[in-house]
Amino acid sequence: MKHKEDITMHKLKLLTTALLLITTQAVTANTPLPTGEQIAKNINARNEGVSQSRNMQMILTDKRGKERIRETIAYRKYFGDEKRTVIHYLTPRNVKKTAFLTYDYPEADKDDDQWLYLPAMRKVRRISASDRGDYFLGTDFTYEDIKKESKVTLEDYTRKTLNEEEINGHPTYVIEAIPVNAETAEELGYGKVIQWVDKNIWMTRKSDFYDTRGKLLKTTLFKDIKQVDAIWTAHRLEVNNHKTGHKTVFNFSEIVYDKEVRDDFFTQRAIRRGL
Amino acid sequence: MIFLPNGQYVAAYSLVLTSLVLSSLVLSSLASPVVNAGEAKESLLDKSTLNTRIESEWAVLTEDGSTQKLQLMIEPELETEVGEDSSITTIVRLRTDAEDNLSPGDHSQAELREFYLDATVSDSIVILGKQQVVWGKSDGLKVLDIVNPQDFREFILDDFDQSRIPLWTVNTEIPINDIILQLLLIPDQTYNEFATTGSSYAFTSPLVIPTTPPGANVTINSTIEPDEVLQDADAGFRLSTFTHGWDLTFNYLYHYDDTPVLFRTIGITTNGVNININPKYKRTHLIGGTFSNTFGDLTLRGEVGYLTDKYISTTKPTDTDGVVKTGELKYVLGFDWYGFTDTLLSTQVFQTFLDNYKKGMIREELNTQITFLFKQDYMNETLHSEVLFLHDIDYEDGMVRPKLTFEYSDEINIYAGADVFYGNKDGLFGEFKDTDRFVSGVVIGF
Repeated sequence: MKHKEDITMHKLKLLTTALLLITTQAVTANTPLPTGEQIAKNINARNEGVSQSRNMQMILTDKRGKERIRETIAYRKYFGDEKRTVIHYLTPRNVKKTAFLTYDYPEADKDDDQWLYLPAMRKVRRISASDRGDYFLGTDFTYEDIKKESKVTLEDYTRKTLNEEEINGHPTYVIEAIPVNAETAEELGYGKVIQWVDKNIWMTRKSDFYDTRGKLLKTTLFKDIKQVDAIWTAHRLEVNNHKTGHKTVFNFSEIVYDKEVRDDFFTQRAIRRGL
Repeated sequence: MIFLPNGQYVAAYSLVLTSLVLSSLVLSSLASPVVNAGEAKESLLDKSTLNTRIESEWAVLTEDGSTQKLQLMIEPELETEVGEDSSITTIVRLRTDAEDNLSPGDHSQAELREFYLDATVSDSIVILGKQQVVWGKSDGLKVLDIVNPQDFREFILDDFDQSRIPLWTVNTEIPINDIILQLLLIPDQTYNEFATTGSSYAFTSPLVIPTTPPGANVTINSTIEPDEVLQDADAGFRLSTFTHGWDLTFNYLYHYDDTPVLFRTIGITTNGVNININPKYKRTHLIGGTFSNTFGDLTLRGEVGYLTDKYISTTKPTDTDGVVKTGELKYVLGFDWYGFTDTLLSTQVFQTFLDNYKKGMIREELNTQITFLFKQDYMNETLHSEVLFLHDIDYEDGMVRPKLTFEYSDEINIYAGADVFYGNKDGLFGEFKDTDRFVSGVVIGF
């Protein structure tokens, strides 16, 4: 008798589960995908702490497999909505003491400010911020990529959600971002970007960048994403430049959020003096 | 291209290599543990970083294909942490030139280039010791970058980092709200070093060396140099800030002009005309400032400086001391354009104006020079090309410097280029037009 009841209960559970699955799928199928703009806003709304310090190893590999390795230390801090980032090169000798400082303003109509300290000249050089499509110090990241990192500039692109896909077992929304006009495309160096954005943590897991002629230019992978101080953080970034065969890997370590990062780290004096 | 010594240069090489070994030993002894073995405390070795730069350069004159320069330079740099946020930097330069054209009779030099303590005191920074202080925003030409004197052994062809002569300086930077106040005290009476007579870049232009009447007996007496350490020290300050997108500085320096004034007396005796030149360093105030900002693809930068007491030689025989005192206004306006990918196009207009111009002065009242710089990076910044063009509008002379640099690896750079002078032989650049050269070299850093 007991056995019969168990079988009935088991069948009931299976039926309930099946019904739930069918209902969920039906609801999901009927739920419209979030818009590209909404996804971009969610990416930007993701918590990344007020400040961050981390070590950054850059591995630059050319198409023949020859490697150049740079060790750097980077700090980032929000001053209200304004984001300031500084990167100091520690090794090797030929780039040691090179430092890059950027002020990323929230106002769309205000140009960001950037400075580069080149030790051979012993001078801090002001760099045009519209130079953002240029590659950053021999890497496959542009100045804009370095500045925005896991965030996006809302006003540069119009976005639409294409579909949903899994990347290494993680559910993502696939969005297509097209520069708002030819001038912006020229500035950024991209004619189109396809992004795979994790549905659960609103982090980009993969991006394909196309040049202004529509050819696949490079692929960026955000890897080893895990929480640090309760903030989702990519510990490895890989860029494959399909045009040149060059590859850049950033490995992050010693990542610390919201420990005191002094305001005066983000000054021209600090990049001139070094660490 | 690779610098290979032959027999006649072995002695010079031996000197450099011996010096390198000795300096390495000194640096190593600095890096020896400060506590007994086995104790957990960090040794100076653990707190020290030694980097070395080795550069070999070969210059060939285009006129006859002869070697002008075959130089080996070794520059070890030791940085030692001596406390929280403080360090001591020591840079030694060992240099030997197998040829004898740039510093005749002085094949090899060993020099303590820089030696300073960089310490943080509260919010301020104190940099104490032999160092370079760099002011200004211009490239290739100097308006405010005159805190340190310059070595003109190779005219202005050497990188400023190499030709600037470091001075013993007390350098303090104090933040005051959004302004940084830099205070300088320089009790070091070292001045510009000029290429010696007969060397490749010895000045002959009448813009620098006043001409004398034919047949005159010219006596150049020894230079009168200030010798009171504190009384004759240079002192100055710089205020710098960033506001509304503008980088701004205000600079002031009370200093000795690093070029001596050539006071002149003329006497007529039965032997003829006797001219006595009495070189003497004179003080002046430098007041100036710099600015920079970006506008789209364009970076605007500039600097202006006014020297209150400049002495310019005059050819007027009736002038009692052979010089005219004047104020000198200098400014440079630069435009950097980043419109093309990985490319910099830069131009500068540089003017000097003498506000008490008198006929007979060896310089024009107003002089204008312009520069153009094209720089481009390729192959993920492993290959760099650049061309610098500098032209003096008034004297119709100038120079062109193309250069190609290849970063073979992080440790090895190879470069090749040319230094070409043209124009009026009496001009500051044209005087060197017989020294056009091809240059190539290897830089090894580790």
